[in-house]
Amino acid sequence: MAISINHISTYLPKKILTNEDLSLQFNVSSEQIFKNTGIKKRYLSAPGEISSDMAVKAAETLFQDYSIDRSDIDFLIFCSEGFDHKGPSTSCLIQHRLGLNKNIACVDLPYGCSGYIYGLGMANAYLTSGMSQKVLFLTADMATTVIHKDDLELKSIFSDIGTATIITKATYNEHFIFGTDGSGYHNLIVDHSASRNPQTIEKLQENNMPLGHMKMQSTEIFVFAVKTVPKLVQDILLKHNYTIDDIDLFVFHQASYFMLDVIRRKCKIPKEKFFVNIEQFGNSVSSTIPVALKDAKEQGVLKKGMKVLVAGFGIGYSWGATVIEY
Amino acid sequence: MISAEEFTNQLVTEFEDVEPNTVFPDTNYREIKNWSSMYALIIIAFIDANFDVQLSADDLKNTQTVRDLYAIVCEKMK
Repeated sequence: MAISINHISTYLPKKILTNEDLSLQFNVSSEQIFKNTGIKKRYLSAPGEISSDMAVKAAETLFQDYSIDRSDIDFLIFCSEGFDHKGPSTSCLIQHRLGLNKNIACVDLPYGCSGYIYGLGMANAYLTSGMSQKVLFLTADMATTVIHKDDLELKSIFSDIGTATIITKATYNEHFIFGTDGSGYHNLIVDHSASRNPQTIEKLQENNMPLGHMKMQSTEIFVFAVKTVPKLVQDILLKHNYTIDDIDLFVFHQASYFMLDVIRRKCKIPKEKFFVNIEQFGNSVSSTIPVALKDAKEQGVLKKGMKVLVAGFGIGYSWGATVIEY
Repeated sequence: MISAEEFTNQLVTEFEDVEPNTVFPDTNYREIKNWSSMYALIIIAFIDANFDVQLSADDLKNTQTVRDLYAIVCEKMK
């Protein structure tokens, strides 16, 4: 017994950051920004609009668009790296805001680029064990609020998006692979955001970033991804006894266009089976995979019954993959 | 293994904006026209795909010229 992704909804903030906007701010052409990232636009959360607000909006859209009875939900997962408070869990607040039942389990999942795979894995465990019948899995992040105003590289990549996924039991039997290497933690980190290296008055005066400061060593992250993801793909195929030919669609975390293309070529995945939509959405951290699944469905690329290999990788370092039957 | 000159020629074709015959084995690759951090990623990807050698960020930090890169690839392929 395993999981079925029934429906996905997304929330896209109104404000959009284009390459032309970045070009005006930094002394770089919009063409060069596109060439480096493969991205044309990113979404920016409004001032005061935080991750849980985007997640709640995505969930309300999901309930409305697919006529979902919220009283059926018995397990809520909220994946983010931008929570409302240190305590209580933001998922508790979301339970109340969405008017979900009180006899349900709620957990926060503090993960980034691999977070969607972790959430699917948790949903699988709860559904398979019988502890849950219907899981609401929300993702949302506000990475753009922890990027320094002068950091073109990060500004040109990240995007704020919320998503909501309904997951129930299925007969298809999928497996998961997860991996972790915390030695790379410092290569992608939101510094000055919690107990280690907490905020100081001097830091706040210097850069006015109360929620923390994201720092990325892009070469290190690239080396990590290009080394780790092809092996992850190979291992998850092997675990299912599949080859590349058995998979209908590959949907990976949308990190950067160049990185995805290098990984695709290394894995020898045909271009037509490899879904990339970073151009229109940017890198929305844990939301990229559900955004891509929904987009692929709307474009007619993803159809019912297809076998989809999903893989997430990044901050941690952390990675994971599974093959879902859509 | 191909020669350092051939290695250089193949690498240059990966950089869209760089004219052939402007980069040589002893060129400091960070001085290639329009050099950006993106070029470092292109070098890593090129070497990984063509020689199955994984460079680290430290390998890049410790090299200056294209010939230095070539030497690392030759060493790691042993």
